[in-house]
Amino acid sequence: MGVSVKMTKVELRNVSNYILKNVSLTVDSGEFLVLLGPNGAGKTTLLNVIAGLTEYSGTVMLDGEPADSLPPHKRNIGYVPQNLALFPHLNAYDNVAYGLRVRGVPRRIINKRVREVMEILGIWGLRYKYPMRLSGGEGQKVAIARALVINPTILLLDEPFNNLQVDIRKSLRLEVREIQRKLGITTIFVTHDIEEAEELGNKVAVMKNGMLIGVGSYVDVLPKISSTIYKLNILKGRICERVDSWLTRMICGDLRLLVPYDGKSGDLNVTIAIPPDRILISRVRPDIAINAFKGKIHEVRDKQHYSEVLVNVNNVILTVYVTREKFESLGLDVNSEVYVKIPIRFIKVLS
Amino acid sequence: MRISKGYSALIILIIMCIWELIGRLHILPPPLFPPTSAVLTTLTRLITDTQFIIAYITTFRRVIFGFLLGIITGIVLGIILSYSETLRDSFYPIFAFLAVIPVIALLPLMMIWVGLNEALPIFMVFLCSFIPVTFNTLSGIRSIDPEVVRVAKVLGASDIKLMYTVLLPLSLPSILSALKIEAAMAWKTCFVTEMLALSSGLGYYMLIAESTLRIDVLLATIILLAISCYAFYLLFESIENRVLSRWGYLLK
Repeated sequence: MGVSVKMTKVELRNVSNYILKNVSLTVDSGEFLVLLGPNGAGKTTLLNVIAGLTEYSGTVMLDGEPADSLPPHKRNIGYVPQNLALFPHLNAYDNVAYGLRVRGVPRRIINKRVREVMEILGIWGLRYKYPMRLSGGEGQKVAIARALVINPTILLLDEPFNNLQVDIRKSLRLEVREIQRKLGITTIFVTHDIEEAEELGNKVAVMKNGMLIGVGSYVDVLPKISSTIYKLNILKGRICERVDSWLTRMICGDLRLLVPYDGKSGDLNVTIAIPPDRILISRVRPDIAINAFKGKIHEVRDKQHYSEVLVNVNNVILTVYVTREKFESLGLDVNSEVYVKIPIRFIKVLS
Repeated sequence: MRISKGYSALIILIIMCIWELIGRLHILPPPLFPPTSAVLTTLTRLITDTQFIIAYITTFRRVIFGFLLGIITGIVLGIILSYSETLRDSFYPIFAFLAVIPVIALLPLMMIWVGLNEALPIFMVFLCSFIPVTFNTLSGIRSIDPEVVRVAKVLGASDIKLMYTVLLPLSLPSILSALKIEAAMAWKTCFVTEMLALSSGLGYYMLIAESTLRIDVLLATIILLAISCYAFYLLFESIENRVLSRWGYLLK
């Protein structure tokens, strides 16, 4: 079973600035916490603090006991780092068995336990393969098995699915969540991907510049995410019609939108969030005209890999991210007329 | 690879033929320039000659002892230095200084300090091998992904366990590449020491051959020396390849 983690006023600084600043965070026993933030926010450092791999000021309590002077190997933590860090000189089986071997567990028990964990993750067949010969997803599973085999009370996952294809990511994500639920291990999952946070997090902590700026459910922290990490179109409006058991029409300024909301709460005022990279933009009217609107480009801001296009749709300004190629191929410019389409499945109803 | 090996065999064959012709046609005086066939005959005679075998074994033993001593000392020193940055920074200049001195330049000094005895060639071989091994052990350990070390620590490895389960195995390729090159150096150092300071071993044997103008014996011994150096090189290379291909770093 998992134990609780309680951090109080954890701080860490290098010569010139803070890496972690006044971080206080509690993760209950058996809870799954998603730690969300952009690169360089201090997420990995916070994991290192919990694992006892770095110096810090402040206190960390594990299971209600102060753990500040506890060395890493006495904290019973399963750790999957960002680059996996599999032992390249050991095959998959020996990688998984490592934690048990260095703890002096008898060989018979090691065999049983390693097999058990590898079978749960479906990688027993890979046991003789060396890390260099494993695919990304396989390596990921070996790293997770290696962390789980020691029966950790806390599992720290540092962007473990970073370098994987979207579909593998998704299935692994669900798998990890399932295993975590079954074993009840307190888990902290670091990511910079808000989709991952949305899918996994019944509790999300948002970090930026070494500070914790919000903790709560995904929906609760969305405004915080939008204002600090990842800009979202946040629109306020009123429900005007229930279309379906799960669809309602809302009015937002002069915009009439279909949103995935059952309207059961009776509250007519709703707030929605739309990720700007999910809004489709085109020169011609889309075939299916649900949530499709004609608008005029109000402003264009060039970013490193994409353009941020502000479109005025019925006096509501929507932010849309468009790739460079698409921006150029469509021949977009300020004041050109465009159609925007907002797919229903990407609309998130906040309240 | 196979084609280039074929070419080099061909070139060696051509050189041997030209050599043979020079000797046979008396272009150069035969006693000073014996043909290939004569050298090969001498070689086959030498490897059954008791005196020569004793000399070879003597040298071989010295190389092995000195080299083993150098490897062990180098690895232990490398490990110790890898533990502390202060230690490493303070000793590094000394090692760098020692590394650039040709070991043979120390021979006269060692002849006085160690004496003209069995310990001298072993000590000379030790001197030429322990510094490169120390360096490569250290750089091997330092090139290990710090994340791997962190994971091992979190999984429960104490410092000592970390050393022999992660750090040493992972710096093995780096250590082996030092051994590959230093093995030949060990033979050369031992050889020169025997020539200049001792009255036993292959080096001394060659000195005798030189004083009796036995060019064929000199050439045959040189060939054997080259083969011995190369055999050591191949040994360490094959271990290195085996380790790397097992880990999946080399395509078979």
